[in-house]
Amino acid sequence: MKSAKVCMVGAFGVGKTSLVRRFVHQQFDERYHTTLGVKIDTRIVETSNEPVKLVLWDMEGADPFETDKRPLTRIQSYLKGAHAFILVTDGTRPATVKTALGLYHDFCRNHQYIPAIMLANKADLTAEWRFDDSVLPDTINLYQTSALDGQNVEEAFMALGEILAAL
Amino acid sequence: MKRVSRRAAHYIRDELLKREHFIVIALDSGQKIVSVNRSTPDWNLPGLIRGSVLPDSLASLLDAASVAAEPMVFPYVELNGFYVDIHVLGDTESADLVIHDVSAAHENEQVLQQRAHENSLLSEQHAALNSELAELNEELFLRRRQAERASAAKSRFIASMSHEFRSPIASIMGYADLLQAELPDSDNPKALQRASWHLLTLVENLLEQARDGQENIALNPTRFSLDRLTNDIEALFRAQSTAKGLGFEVKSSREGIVVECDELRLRQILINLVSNAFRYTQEGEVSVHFRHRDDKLYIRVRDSGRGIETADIERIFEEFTRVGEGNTSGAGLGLTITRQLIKRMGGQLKVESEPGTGSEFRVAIPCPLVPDDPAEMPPLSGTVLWVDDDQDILSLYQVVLENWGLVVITANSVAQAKDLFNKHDCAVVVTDVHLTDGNGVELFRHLRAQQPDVTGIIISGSGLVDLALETAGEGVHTFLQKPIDAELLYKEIAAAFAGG
Repeated sequence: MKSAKVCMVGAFGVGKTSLVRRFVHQQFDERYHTTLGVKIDTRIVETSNEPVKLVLWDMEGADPFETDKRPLTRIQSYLKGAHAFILVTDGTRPATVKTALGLYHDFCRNHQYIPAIMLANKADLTAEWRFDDSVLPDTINLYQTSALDGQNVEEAFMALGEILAAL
Repeated sequence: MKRVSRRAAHYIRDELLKREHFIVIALDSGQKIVSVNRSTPDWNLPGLIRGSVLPDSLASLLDAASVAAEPMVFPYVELNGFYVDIHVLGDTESADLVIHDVSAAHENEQVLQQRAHENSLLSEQHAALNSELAELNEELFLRRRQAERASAAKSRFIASMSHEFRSPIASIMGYADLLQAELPDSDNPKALQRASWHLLTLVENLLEQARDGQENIALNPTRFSLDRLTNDIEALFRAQSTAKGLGFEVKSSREGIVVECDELRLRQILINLVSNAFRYTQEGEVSVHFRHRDDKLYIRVRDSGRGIETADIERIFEEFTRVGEGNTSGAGLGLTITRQLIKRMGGQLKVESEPGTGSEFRVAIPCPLVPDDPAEMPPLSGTVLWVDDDQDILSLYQVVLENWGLVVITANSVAQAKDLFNKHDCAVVVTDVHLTDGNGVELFRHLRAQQPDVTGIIISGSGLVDLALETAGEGVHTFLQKPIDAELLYKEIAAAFAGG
């Protein structure tokens, strides 16, 4: 079975852990627990070609304004050997798009090109939605997701599974 | 650290292994576990069994490390509820995984990071709210400007309507005066005059609202009989008191006196207060008492209505406020305007009220007593050009001025006025400001340019005309507002002929 290391990256507080929890365990926790380090979870998805084991690396969030560079160093160590990126952003915080894209572009520049999708999370907060996708490259598909109610979560991960199966 | 002895190195290693939890896993080329060594027997991780394949999470780490040329460390990896640093040593043929339990350090750092991130998220929310607030303030500013423009448009409209009303009212009042002179024993002209005054006060209330307290209009003091005023108030509200079954009394402590103040404003104040008393009184009586002393007029309007709570007394003077349940009649402007007028006239207003018993409004206004001698109006001579686009006004003042011995030329337009002015020797020009084909002030400037010794009197129905006199220029003797008191008109025309 094909196995792929998928890195969940983005700013802190965008909902990376909640998305993995929703996708792998079909659960959601209202409380905010920041992630320090990395949690590794797996789920096998049935694609049109073959089953693919997604090994999901849910890593701590990046803070571009943080003077302590240890979190960024840790993130860079986790990214080694990645097969795909899930760029997670918060639809109510426009700046999180830049953070996620920055991590992805840095990786591609220093390693090799790998596929990525972007999840604009917290789609349930439509009243506060301020998402601007104009800076998104054509190669990255965007999914508006909600870890809270599960909106588009399954579809997004499945779409990435299809991309990885086709590689 | 510099090179140390083997004995020291062993000591350090033993101490480290006593204090820290380590698991060392040896792997073969197929990622099968060859051996598992623990530094302390009481710390273990499930699934690490000799001969089995590595769990997915650790296998994934090994794959990631295989692309690196050097030993790799993965810090703070969550493994079965513990946080560990995982060191990958070796190559694809054989590798060692050194797992170091760092849960305690992780927990300490996690608490700090949680706090930092929560603070940062709060700051972002704060900034977003500030930005939203700034947008709302901007919108508020724009809406306020729109409201101000709408308010200015409303004021212009009301002023314009006021002008439209004033001219015919002036005409009715003037003709009623003529009728009264012709039929001195008839009450009918008096009723006509009374109704006209009432109508005029209603128009003035509208105009006061349009001014919104922003413009300090000039007062227009005239001599008038206090008896006539009290009789008019009595006659005006008699029908209302009968219809509601209320007692109504109008009394004056001094009869037969003539006083001087702005009669129109005084009538406005009285009509507003007495109307208010009748509106809130369902049984009992309404009374109005006049007293004149030391050049002041004291008025007391009392009713036996439902009264006002002490806490509401100040609110009754607020615009569009009608205190009390079920009260829907009236615009809620009368008392607001009344207080403004009293203040403008240099007077005072006091209110006493008791719920269930009634209210008493007391007004004191400067109002000097003047001699009761009919004003001497000796015959005048000369020619006056009177310009107004209202034919009834022209006809009225032609009769009035001719009675004073003057020759009156009338014109109903700017064009006609220019033509007639050239054909007659007019020493005085009386012109309305608003004419159908132009502006009376500009007309006078034109005529004055032709004949520098001509004197002007400017008349308007609009109340918003303070600027008219300032901008009228040389030769303008005075500005008068419709309806014009006959005695005042005589005085001003006589002065204009006398050269100011």
